Amino acid sequence: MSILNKHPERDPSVAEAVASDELLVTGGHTFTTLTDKVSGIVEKKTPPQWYLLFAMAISGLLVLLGAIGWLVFEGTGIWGLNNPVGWGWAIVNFVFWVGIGHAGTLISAILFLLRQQWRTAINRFAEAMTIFAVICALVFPGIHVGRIWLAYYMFPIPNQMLIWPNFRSPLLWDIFAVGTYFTVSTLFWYVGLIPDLATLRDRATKLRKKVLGFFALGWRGGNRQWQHYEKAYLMLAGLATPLVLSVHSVVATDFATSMVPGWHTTIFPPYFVAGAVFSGFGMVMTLALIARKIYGLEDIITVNHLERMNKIILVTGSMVGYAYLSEFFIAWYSGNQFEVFAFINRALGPYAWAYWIMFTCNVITPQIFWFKKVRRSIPIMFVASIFVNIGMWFERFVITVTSLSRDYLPSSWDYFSPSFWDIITFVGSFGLFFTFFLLFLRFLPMVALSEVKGVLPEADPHHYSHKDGGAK
Amino acid sequence: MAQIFPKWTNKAPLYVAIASVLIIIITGGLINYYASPLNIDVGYRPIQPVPYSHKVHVGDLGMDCRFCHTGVEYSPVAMIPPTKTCMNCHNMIKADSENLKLIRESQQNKTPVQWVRVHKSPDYVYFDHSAHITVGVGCASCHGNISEMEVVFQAKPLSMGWCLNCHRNPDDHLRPFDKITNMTWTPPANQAEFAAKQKALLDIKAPTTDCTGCHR
Amino acid sequence: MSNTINSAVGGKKYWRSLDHLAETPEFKDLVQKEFPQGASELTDPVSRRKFLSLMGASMALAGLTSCRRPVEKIIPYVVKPEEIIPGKPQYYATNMPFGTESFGLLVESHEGRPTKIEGNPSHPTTKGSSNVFMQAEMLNLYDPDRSKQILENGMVSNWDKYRAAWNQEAQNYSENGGEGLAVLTESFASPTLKRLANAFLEKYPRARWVTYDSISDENIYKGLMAATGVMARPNYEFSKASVVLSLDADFLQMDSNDIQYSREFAGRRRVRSEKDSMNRLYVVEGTFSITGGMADHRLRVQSGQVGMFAAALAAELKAQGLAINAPQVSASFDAKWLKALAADLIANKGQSLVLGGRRQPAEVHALVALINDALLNTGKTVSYSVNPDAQVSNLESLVELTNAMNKGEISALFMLGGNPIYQAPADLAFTDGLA
Repeated sequence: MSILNKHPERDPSVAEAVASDELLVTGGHTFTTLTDKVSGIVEKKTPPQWYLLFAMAISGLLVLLGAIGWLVFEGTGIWGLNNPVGWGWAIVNFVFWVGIGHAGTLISAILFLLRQQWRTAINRFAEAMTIFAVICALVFPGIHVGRIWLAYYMFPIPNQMLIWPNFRSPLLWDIFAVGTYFTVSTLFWYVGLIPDLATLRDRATKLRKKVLGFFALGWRGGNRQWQHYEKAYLMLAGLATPLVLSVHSVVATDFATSMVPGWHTTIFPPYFVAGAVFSGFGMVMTLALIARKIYGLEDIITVNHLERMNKIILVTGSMVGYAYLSEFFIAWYSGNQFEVFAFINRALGPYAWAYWIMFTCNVITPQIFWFKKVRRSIPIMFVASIFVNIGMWFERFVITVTSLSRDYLPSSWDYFSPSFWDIITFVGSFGLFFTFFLLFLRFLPMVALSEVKGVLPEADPHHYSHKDGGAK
Repeated sequence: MAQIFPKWTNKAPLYVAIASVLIIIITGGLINYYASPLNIDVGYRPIQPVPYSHKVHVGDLGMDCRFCHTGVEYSPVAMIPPTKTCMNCHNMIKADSENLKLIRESQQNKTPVQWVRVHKSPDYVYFDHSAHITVGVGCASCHGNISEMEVVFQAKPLSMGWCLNCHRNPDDHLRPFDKITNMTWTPPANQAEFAAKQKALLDIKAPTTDCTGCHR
Repeated sequence: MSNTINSAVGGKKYWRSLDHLAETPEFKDLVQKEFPQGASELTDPVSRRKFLSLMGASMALAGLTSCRRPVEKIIPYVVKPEEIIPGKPQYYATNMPFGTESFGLLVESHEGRPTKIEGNPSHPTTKGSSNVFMQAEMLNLYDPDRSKQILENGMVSNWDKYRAAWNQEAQNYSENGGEGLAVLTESFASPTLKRLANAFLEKYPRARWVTYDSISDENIYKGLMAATGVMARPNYEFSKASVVLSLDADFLQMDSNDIQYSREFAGRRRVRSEKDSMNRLYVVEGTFSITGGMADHRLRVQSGQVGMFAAALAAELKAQGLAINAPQVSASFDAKWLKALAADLIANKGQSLVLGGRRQPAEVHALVALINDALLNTGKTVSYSVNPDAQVSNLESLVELTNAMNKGEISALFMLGGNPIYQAPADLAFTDGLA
């Protein structure tokens, strides 16, 4: 039972809680100050750091466009792909970005259904992050096909050939899973934005008012509107919840249905989902810490919020670590020499460096969050979150490349090295992500105002004392 | 508070939604029709170096296709006849015709006539004339009624879907062997019966619809 | 126009020639040709825009033309050869000489262009199978480096000029009996070529005929020469051999007659009824080969030690009671392996087969012949035949030729095939001799 449902005067624990920092919003914010604070980010002068970051991001985006242009012109030969390793960084980056997206949906849907009210401070930009990450992810299957103008073959579109894509192929399921995911996430995000857009609209003038008014869909904040809104939001949350589990499960089956040692395991779907949430929270943490610092949001995204996120990182990180160890156990237990070899090769083979980077970042790093001091230390958690991001990228690299580079036939083994274009395409995808993200910070409310207001003590119907006529 | 938008905008989203769905369906349909081989390729009628008329030879004179296209029963390609085939008749008939000048030159100089290809399947498609002719698929099924063409043009789309249509349901296109080169044959009422008998006679399995059947 | 070149308005004036400085009419004319009218419009903003819009329009139209179907020509025969049905391949049976061997082939040909080589099913050497050399031979036909004409000092010439030049030379050589004349060929077993070679040597008795291949059965021939006194080659009957010992011989892939031997060897491995038994293969080799991969028992021995192993085997066979004149050896090999092998060979006397690889020196082959003889295999699993037409590679004759070339004793050298500059042993300095 949350602190909010308790009466502050009848229940002394509330006062204690306020004193002991357990309130979700600190700094004595009221509805008004909160609105000013968050709307101000969009309305007031943009901080200089934003311009610096945006210049960097847009440069990265241009690099990505250049790399894609060259890829279209020259073909996938510009990448470091070789004969056994036909799936290189494109699939690694795809899985990486899809994974990043998962935290947003988890925070906005599952934590919403579980009535975790601390989610309100971070859900808006976590959802935005989800959408932008999925966009980044979608770039890669689009461009990796080589003949990009035939990318529509991936979709079941009626055509003059009278054939459909192979419905038994998980690569087609990917199209549906990621496509649905993107659609539902975008809708969910937009529905959540409507009351806040209306708030901004009411503070704006001229063209700005019109544009915001257009997207606010005539929101007035009436009771009936709120009633419908809450229902729609609940339904979307219900829709999005299975997606958290299904999307990465499908991505995992891309690998698991192949007869490649190291891929052909039933643990892949749950293991991928845990990894996805893990990496997503790593990314949310990184972004939250930067945004919080630049825009002075310490009151809204408090250390309490960060500590809770660190707990999730600890849990999912441990799940990932358990999966790593379990893979080794099952490889040994299966008695399949190829499976055994695949895992010995991961840990001790030519890609051992990547494996141990992955292991250190993903399994050992989150274990520091067992300590409360560490969970509440901002510099440490910032560094740790970056390690998590690195580690999770390497996890996808290790899974994809080590298994492919050494499969059944020793004569077909080869070592994969990325080319210059592999690297700048990946770097460029960060440009794409941050361009979107920074534009979002600049033009839309980065904190879900209406929801945060709902968790303020002021929102409690019993907040105002009856004795002084309700005017505290 | 004053309204930002006039009242009619209340309905606008609904109209926009309906319009976008319609636009997507209509554009998709138009592209699907106009950008398909059915519309792009059918009717291709290049001008040939020699004004040879299939209408005269096949339609009016009643020559059999295999008189000139001798490879059609034995080979993947039907074969454009060599100059010699033309001259077998035309050294007697219309031997001085202006239209046959190129043929006579070809005969004299031993230089082949460069005909323009009308029916083209892409290089990644394997097509075998003999495999179709010998099971009873008629010439006209794919080439249309050649006997009425003054200049040959592409009558069928030759698209993959068009190929598959017949491969998935070949019964309507099987004919008796003496009707293979008949340009005006239409399936009789008991076609299904005949097709079943023909398939049993020739021991034909269903034609391939595997990728590797044609993309070898 | 000239003022665009002299564009340094107000600053120093630069000039590129005296004509330019003097602005002669010739120079103005030249400039006009170099930068024709209209090119200067690009510097004018309005014209530039017009230019771009025109370019845009022509690009758009170019896009439209690409929708039109590219014209493709069909070029029939003028007179069709009777036996050709266009689209249907034809198959020609032929033979491919390969060293002193020869393979029977079927060559697939499309409208006169050979496209694929396979073994001829009715030819005993291949029976429809092929090997890597046969498959690769197809590329030789289309090798862009293949000489298509007669060249003289790198310039295209013709046969008439060549004949005239040679007739002049031949005069001298027929007088001195071919002194200073040499022919270098690869090894062959062609009766026609042999006859021509004999005729040549009859006419020019003092000419040299040298045969050299970097990879050949030379050592095998020499070994049998030492053992039997004739230039013979061994023929193996794997179908009769129950125990096979290969001493560095890759008879399944690289050695002579590999196609026939592979088939016969595999035939003895196939168990079709309860009466059939499998043969057993021992391989002693220094590098992994297909044959080694097929072995039931494989012993890894340095290639240079294989001879020692053969001697040790002979000694072991003698120790186990076989009548053989075994040489003394000091090297030690896996004694258990050797004992078991010797026992197996003796137990299968007359149905065993020992063979040596072409990499091994002549002595090994002589010893192998001796062992086969002692095991009573001769005439059963191994027989020897003499091919009077075989011209076997001979390294010594190449050495002699090179020495003669270096001394300036050779005035004309004919190389019929082969690439000695690439193949001859580097320390022979064959290239120096050519210079």
